Amino acid sequence: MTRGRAPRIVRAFLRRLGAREDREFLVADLDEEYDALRAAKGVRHARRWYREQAARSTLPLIRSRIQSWRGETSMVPTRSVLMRWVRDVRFALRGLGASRAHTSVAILTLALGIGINAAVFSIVDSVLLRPLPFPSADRLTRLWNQQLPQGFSYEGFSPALVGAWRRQTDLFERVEASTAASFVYEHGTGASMIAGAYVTPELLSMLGARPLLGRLFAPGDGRTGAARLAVVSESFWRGELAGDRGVVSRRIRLDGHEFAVIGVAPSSFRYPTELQQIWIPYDVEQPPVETHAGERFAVMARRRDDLTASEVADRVKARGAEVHVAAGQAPVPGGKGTLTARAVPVGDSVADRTERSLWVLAGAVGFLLLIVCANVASLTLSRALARVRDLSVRSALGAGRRDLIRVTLIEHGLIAGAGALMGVGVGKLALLATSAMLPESMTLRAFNVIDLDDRALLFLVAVTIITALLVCLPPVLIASRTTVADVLRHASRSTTGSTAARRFRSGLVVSEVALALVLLVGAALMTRSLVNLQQIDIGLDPEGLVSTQLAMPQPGFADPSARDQFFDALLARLRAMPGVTAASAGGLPPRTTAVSYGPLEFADRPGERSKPVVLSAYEIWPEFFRAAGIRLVDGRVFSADRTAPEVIVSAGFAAKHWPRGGAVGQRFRVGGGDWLTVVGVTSDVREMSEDDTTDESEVYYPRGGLQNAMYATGPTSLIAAYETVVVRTDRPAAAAQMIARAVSRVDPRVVVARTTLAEHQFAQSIARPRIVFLMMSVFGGFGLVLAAGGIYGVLSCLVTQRLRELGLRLALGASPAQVFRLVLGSGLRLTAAGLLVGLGLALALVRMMRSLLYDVEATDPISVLAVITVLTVSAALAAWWPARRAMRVNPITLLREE
Amino acid sequence: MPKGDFLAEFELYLMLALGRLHDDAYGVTLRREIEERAGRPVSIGAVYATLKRLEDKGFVRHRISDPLPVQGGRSRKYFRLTAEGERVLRYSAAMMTRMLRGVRFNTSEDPR
Repeated sequence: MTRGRAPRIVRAFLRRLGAREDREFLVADLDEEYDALRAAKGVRHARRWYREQAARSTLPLIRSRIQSWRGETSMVPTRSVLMRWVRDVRFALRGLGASRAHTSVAILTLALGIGINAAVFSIVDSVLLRPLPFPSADRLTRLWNQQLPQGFSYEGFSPALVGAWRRQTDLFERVEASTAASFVYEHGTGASMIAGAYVTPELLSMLGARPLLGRLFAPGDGRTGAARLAVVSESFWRGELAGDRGVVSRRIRLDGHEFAVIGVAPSSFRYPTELQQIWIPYDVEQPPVETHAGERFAVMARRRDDLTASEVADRVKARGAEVHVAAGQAPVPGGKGTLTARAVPVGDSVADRTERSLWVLAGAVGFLLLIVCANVASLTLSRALARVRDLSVRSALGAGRRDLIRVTLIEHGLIAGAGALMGVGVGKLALLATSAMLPESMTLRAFNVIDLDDRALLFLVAVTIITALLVCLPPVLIASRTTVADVLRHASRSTTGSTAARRFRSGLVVSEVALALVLLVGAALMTRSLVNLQQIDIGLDPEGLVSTQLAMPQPGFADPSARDQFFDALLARLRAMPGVTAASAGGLPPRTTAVSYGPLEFADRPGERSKPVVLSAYEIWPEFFRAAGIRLVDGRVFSADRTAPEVIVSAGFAAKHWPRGGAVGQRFRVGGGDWLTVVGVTSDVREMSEDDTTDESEVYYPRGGLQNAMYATGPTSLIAAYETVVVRTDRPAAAAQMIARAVSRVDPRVVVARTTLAEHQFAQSIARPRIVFLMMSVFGGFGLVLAAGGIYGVLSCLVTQRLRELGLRLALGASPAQVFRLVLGSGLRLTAAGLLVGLGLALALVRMMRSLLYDVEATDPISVLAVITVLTVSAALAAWWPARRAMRVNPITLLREE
Repeated sequence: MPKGDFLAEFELYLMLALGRLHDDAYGVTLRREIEERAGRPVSIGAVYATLKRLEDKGFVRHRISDPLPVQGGRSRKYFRLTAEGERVLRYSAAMMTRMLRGVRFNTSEDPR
């Protein structure tokens, strides 16, 4: 009997709907027929019938309940519940219309608070809260190479190494890899550079991508000799291919080769980042000879479901060295340390800093909303008190406290609703503005699309309801506590406040000041750290900067001097090309190609040895800084006729080791090597990366001057070295083609591995700090204005309340100055209390921000003092006007009114 | 006759069914009876809602049967017309007959 039972939930639902005296019979009747039907026509039929019955029964039963509740027996309810609501809403609308100023200020304030909150929520939601949009996302793991014991890790995996990890089937179900690259895309009228990625064929399917059109890659794609295939992004398809539905098998030209488009990936698929428009298959086991993605694959693996993340992490670490050897990785030159690996669950890969800044932003907007609520509550209270008599008359006429509360709730529901509607608009705008500015390093790691989606709207509704309640309940309760007798007793007097109301108001001022203080302290700390460190500067000029990685094969290039000759010829050729303003070679910071490792010793401080450090080291050709757009801030570039080893260091390095300046001319050595003379200091090049464990300093060596270096992608049996050509040009796409052509002219054996447009590479880093500062300042500014407005509103209301008392004081001989001081003093006392509370709160909360600050302590006294001053001045100004008004009260007029 | 004694269409159907089923009128049989005769789906909810209304008006009363003599057997709620109900039904039927007299339909279709 159990298996064929009627749908349980439907049944329970119907049972709830039925009238108390009928429900058991109703359900039993239905069951009886259900059983008969099941016996005759089968379970499915019977179930469908049951559900249909339930659906059809809902309305009559509800109607019946309402009628019996209202004690009506006639068919047509005379005044339905709906009617009463309509009446109440109309009443409320009329009330709101009567005080248009109050209503519009309240709605606008709420719209601002709610909208900004919704926008920030959707960002936090898509970056932090929502699960990654990949199947089995909790088992996805990123692999890193790790250098022990220094512990610095980097992401470059050679195809062989990817293959070696793929064979660790006891740890991972799937091991896939990708590497971002820029491609020259030739269209009808010219060429442009687009961001793309080489991916292992099954990466897309592991990440759950579904093609919008055509298919994605399958095993066998991207092998030696296989056809050249490409999957394009939805935006590329719409923008470049005109949304042609017959795009599949259409051919496009990338890097001078024909590729067949086999599918379109939907815009929701964004991997490695949102920038990628093209994916090219690359089989790591049998790499296509003619495609050279380089040695810098990022690996994404899915761990077996019988292992935990920490088990995998432990085993990967223990096994890393073995796998490196299995992949035929040459031992590290110099033999220092061991190379192993590290596994990090992808969910954790949202950078800690990003997470922290997002929470700080979320906290800031939360505070903003609270200030908004406090303001609107204070507005509401003023209005409610002004209407005390109205309410009392109503209650005298028989309206219960419940009715009064309901009417007020409807009014504020309407205000909050209107605020929420406008808030959607504000949120959309805020989101547009933010995502235009928000750096990809903060948003893309989320892989989720940021939008005001259902979740954000749900959040918005919840916030609105909470806001409405917060805003209107306390005033209503206070106002409704006023009895008829109270009103009658004070009949003609301006009763605008009971003790409770006054206390509530004072509480509002105190909390507004406290909240504003927290917001402002945050904003001030951010601004100060911005001033302290020009973090906006990425240190190089990415516009028109093309870098091409070249793989120098072992045959012919094992000897460094052969490489020098090649580059001399290549650079000469490149510099002569049209549109090229500078060409040079050497790695492009901050992408580390080599590191020097060891303790530092300084000639001016004999006997002092630092702890071992990891320095990003670059061997550069002449004209490098001009080509890369890296500024020389002090000293000179390398001289042609140098006698001693020279280096150029980044400003960060110089400031760290010669804090009093004068780095040029100093000498130091790394790991006991040759003494190096600093001849120049350059700007720091920064790319916000999530796992940058190198010491953030660059050291540039002249060609041939680098010793004791370790290479991230070391020499292999095929490749002697990877070198990077950097070219500054006003025509990047053309330049990328020219570089490839020039390379094959100079020596066809050299492989053009990968071209990157610096603008693509640095897109993530450029905006990031700016946005956090900007948003914090904007929120802080809003908070200040709102808090000042709130203090003003409350104080002027307090003065109105005390007019009689003040008039009396004046009549009894108090001087206007005394009255002025009295009012100003009460305002400032409240402010002081708020400051005290806020200070405690701020000190507790800004600790969260510590990692976001550069060279500023979270308890920075200057910022805190500045904020306190600003707030006190604003509060004094806000209290000034009411105090002046109080001073000018004319006792005669007051008494006449009596 | 007061206005409240007019019967809505479904109320009329139910009362007619009650008049036909006599002692066997409970949820299941009433619903089926109307559904079969009217030829359109009828929900149990509508049946109970209407019965309740009719009972409130005093046209219908109910009795609850003893549990059925099987294991786990349940009681049923049987309905029947009150004297007032019968009077109203008779009045409505007569009214309907009077109103139908002489009505000519333009089409010859049988309304099923």
